[in-house]
Amino acid sequence: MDNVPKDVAASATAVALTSRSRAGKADDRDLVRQAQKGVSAAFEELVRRHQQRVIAVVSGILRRREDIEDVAQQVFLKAYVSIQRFDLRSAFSTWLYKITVNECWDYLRKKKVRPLSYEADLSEEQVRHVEQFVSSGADAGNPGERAELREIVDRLLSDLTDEDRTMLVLKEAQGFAVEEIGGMLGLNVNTVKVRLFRARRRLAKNYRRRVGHGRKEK
Amino acid sequence: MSEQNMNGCEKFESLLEDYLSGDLPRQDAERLASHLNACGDCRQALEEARLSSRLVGLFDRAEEPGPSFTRLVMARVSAAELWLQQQKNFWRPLEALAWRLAFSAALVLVFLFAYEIKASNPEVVPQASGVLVQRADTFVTPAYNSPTNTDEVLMAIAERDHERQ
Repeated sequence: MDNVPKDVAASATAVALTSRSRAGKADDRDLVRQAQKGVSAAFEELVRRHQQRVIAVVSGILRRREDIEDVAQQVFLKAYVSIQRFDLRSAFSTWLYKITVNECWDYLRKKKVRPLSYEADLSEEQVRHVEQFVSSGADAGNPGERAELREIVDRLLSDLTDEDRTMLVLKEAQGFAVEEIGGMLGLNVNTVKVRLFRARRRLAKNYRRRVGHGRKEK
Repeated sequence: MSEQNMNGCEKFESLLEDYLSGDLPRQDAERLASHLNACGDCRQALEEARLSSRLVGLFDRAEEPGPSFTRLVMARVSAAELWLQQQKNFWRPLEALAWRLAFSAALVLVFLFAYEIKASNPEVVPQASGVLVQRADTFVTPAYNSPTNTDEVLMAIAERDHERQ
């Protein structure tokens, strides 16, 4: 094995890693160590494993379809450049999600836009539509109706702070655990829970104010 | 649990969040149930939280992006690697030149320093020249006072005769 050239040995390691990871044996730490030694196949495997969750975080924060993949690719590029500095003290996913959240905030700052902001009132038809959805308790009908309802909820969410809105969408829509959200935002679990609950209530109050129930209550 | 009057119910907020997520332990669930029976504000808060869950639940979970995404990421990584390599290749000759210049400058400094020491210590110089003078003396004809006139010739003969006696 001493006579084997370095690049051949590296590619042999890469093949071994890929087959091990397919068999579910190589964990993230092994892959990170290999990636730190310059084995690009190990990094590729890490991308494959985490791309769906990274895209979920990005879409939870940005939710503009055209920007999501580009920002997610940028996240992995940053991770590749700085993987030598990752000391394995936390889980790779926690480190990666932190990069993702920071990249999203940077992106929004550079673009100088709030993620989605609507100040205009909802139309009568939109109000009727969303009231019907809430009171029926059934799923939204066809994809078109669902998309229309999502747009209304986007408007209602625009009154929340970026961080509260992000927490709520990541938890409720993307299925992240409060521990994961805390890791991303640098908050302890209890703080995340309390802020999530308050964000939920704020959204509900906003719904009542803008959709019309608030008028009846007054 | 209105926002103005939440002091008594603040401690139940995280429990209510756990309850909504289905993560509430049995013991806490019993404690929360007895509180909800007594507290109308918290019951309303829970209803509001449920409503918002239903609304945000309209957003779809992100889909698996597929192998094309991985390929695009790795293409960007390769491009970045290539760029870094090009940067290294650009600076490498300049780096070598800088090292050579630094070495030459250090050498010049060492020579200058040695010269300065030599110039400021004059005792060393006479010793060397003394040897040279001695050596030169061996080739010089020994001093010989040859008579320049008849009186001196006579005096020299008289001295020689006197020494013989």
